[in-house]
Amino acid sequence: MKKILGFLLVVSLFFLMTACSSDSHEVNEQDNEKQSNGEEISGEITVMGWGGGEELQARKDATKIFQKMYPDVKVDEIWLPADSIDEKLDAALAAGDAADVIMLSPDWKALRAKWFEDLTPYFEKNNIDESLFTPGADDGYVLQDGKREGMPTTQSCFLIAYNKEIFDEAGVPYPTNDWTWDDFAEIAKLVSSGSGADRTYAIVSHWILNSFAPYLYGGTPYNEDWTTQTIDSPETIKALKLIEELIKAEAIPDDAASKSIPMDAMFVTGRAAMYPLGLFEAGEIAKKVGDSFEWGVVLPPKDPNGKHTNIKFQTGWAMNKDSKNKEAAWAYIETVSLNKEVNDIYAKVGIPALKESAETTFAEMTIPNTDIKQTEYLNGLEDAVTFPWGGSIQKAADIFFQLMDEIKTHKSTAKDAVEKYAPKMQDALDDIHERSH
Amino acid sequence: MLGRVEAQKQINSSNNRSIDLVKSIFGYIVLTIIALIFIFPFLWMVATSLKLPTEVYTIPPKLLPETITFENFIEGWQYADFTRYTWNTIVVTTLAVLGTVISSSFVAYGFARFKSRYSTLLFTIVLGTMMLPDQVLLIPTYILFSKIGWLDTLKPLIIPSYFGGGAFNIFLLRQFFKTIPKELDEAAYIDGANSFQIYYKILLPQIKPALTTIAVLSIAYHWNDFLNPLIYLNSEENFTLAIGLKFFENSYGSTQIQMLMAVSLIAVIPLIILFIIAQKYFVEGITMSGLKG
Amino acid sequence: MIKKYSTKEKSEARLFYIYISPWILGFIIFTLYPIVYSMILVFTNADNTGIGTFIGLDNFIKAFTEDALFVKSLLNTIFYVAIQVPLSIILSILIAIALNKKNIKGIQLFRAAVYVPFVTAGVAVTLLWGWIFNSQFGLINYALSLFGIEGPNWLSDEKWAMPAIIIMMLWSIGNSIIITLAGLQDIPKQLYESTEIDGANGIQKIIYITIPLLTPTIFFNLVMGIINGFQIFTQPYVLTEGGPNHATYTIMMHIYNHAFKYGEMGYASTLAWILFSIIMILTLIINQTSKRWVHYDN
Repeated sequence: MKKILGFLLVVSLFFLMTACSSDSHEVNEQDNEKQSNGEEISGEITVMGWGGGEELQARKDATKIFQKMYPDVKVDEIWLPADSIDEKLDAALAAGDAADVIMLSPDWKALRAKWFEDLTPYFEKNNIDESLFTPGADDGYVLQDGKREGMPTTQSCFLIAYNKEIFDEAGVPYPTNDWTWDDFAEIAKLVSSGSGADRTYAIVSHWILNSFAPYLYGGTPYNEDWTTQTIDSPETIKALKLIEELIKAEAIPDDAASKSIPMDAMFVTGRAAMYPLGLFEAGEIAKKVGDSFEWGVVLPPKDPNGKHTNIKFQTGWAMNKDSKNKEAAWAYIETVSLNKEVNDIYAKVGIPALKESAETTFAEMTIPNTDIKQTEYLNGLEDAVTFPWGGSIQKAADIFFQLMDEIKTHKSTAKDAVEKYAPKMQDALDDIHERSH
Repeated sequence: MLGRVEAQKQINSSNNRSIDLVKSIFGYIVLTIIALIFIFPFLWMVATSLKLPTEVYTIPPKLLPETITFENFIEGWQYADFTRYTWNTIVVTTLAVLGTVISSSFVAYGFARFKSRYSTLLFTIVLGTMMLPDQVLLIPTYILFSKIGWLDTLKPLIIPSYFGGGAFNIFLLRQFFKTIPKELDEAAYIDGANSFQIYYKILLPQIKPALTTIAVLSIAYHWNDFLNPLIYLNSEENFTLAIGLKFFENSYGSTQIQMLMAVSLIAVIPLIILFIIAQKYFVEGITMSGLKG
Repeated sequence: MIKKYSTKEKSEARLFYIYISPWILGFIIFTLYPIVYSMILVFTNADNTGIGTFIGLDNFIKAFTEDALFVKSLLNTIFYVAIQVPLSIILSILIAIALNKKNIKGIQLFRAAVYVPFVTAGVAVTLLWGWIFNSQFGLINYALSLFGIEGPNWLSDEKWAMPAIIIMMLWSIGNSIIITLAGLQDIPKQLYESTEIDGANGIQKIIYITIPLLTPTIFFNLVMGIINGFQIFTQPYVLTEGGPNHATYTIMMHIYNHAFKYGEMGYASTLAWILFSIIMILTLIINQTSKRWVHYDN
């Protein structure tokens, strides 16, 4: 099969050469420039990352700092919008021309691990250990088999934002960091009021709630090496039942109520008392609220083990194992992840991986457009679990979302939905593992 | 015969002038309703682009902004290098549409006017190329462009247009060529014209409305195409508008909607103006009616 | 008939190949390799980067025996095509006729209005459609309430979500309206005038002249409607994400999920080729019947 394809490719190329022969050769000028100083790192690397707005600007600024430190390394930057990044990256990997340094997230669950260099030796050589990192930042980068597929850079997690006016009107004291999900359920019923189009909900149906759901009472969606689903464990069922109950009580909008109003609009216009506020959108939400009402933030409620339920999104850098300039690639990864100056820039757009920056620069900042301190996000990160539904897991994830869909559309009770979907989720996990071996 | 028609028309017009007036008012009302339905989302875009961030969301939703701000246009345009992206988009669109119009009319003429043993089969293949989802062709196509060194250039977005101009356009123009009576070709052939002259001098002018149509549609396609530029372009200096617009969304899907609307509006207005201008060619085309009737 | 091909036919064939040569070259250079590549993946368990081993017909067996979602997505897509394609053709003809009045002042602006959704139909307007279909504040339900009808929960009702997608798609039929409009330019005025003398009214003119002479365009819109309709992806993907309960989950979403989300490019290719076969068979059938109802030469 390879032969046929190879032949076809040659045929295509042949026709092309004859069709437009002028474009066929490109000389790489960089090859001729040889650095005289053998000690210094030089050459050319390509980095590929994605994002938007300030977040992306921070990445570009980090590269500038790297360039200042390593003037002899030429960095070709590929910065893309986050949309459709999978297609582009997979195509580049398949064609063998992917960048030397590639952005990744541990929530990919080893999806592209075979393309990435094990960074363990680099960590050892440079004496990089846990103590350098912000607590929680480095989770998930070391795979089951001990391979380190990436280096952390920025993180994001959630707090619960609450509308003080709604709480005041309902005569409910503001939530504090030691609340539990049972407290939450009680408060939720108190702060929601009205009916039909005038309903004020307790909390918006943010997309992250689906991912929070299994963890509320200390449960999990699947076991540690994601070989077995655990959504049918008593803890998880109890948690899903709570969600079901809150939807039935109209404390959380059901599918119909949530679909047609954008989730942020619901909070911003005072139609919901609470909002799971990701650090990544905190500034934007603050801007939209403006001075319509006073609001505060609190850590998400605690599970019975005393851990604040939270989900974190992590972004890091990986090295292409076929990179031709691993020395420079590593220098780049190290600089844009551990350099203090870089991390201080990251502090504007996320929780920096470097503990030093997180605890000083980041902690001292306020959520943009507010006077609310960001410190609480650091506490949130420590307890947070890596986003459970990305990468390799997505097949099982879609089944879990289907389960949640049935609860939110009142099609099944939590218990029935679990009974229906637990076996399907197990099949999906089996399938994923069979494929990866 | 024409005389009779004219005479009849005269009688009609003097008798029914008032009915005509009612009819045309009715026509305007119908057209206005249709136009409003189609243009509504556009009006919403305009309104949103003029809003303050705090005003974007109200319940119930309001169309008109309370205070008008042009800040979104200024801030939005500076958000990324949109001037550069616009220029690239103009280059890609102009060159690709040129290729599309030339190439597809040429190929469509072949399919509409000449036969060979395999013409039906080949035409089926033309249609078949549209039936396989792009998503499973994306990786091998990328590999192909990677091997010939076209990545991060505008070539993959332009050059394929010159090789047939796309199955959709070939098919459309073939349909239009086929409606032109063959007697027209034969008459020209007897007068000593060769097949290219028949194509260029006789048939092309006849299908001007169709050529305008494919030009207008492929301008919109290339102007708004997101996936192809994203896959094949790497450096920011080569990006197109459609990619640039996606930068208003951060990696968690949170969007700066007012700025997105403002810049989208700037991106889309040239297309609408172009379309209004292009309509001149829409009505001009047909002159051969005598032969047809 | 001793000689099967006369010299005239031979020279005609030669001209045929000369004129279509740009397409043939383009096909060999740009299309053939990707097509064969995906055809080979059909028989493999290739991952998201196209790497895998040969597994015979397993993918086909899986599609038709194990994958209930594939069947569901296929039925959804067929439902969509069966409703949306005929509606869009009828609407295109009616609107194009309404827009074909040359003596109306400002007609260019009215035509441009139809083109507008076609150029703005990006993800940018999804938010707006959420509002339009909103059960409480939505424009459609507001309009219905004027007639005393209580509108449904469009996007979260399994019965109404697909109709909502169809409505959204009907709004962006600007391209087929413009194509139909171009087709209308092809109809000689004299034909209308001669039937006017025979006393035909507006509707009769449409039925006896406009429609028959428009059949090449209708045929085009029908075939393209089917080809594109079966591949509908973006709108349900951004508006409903295939929900609620997979009510708007289309076959292209299924293919996309397997190709880039689940890392099963081999299986995705199999589904893509099954989709290809369905569209191809339908197109060939329509093409066969077209000899009876499409009039190229009048």
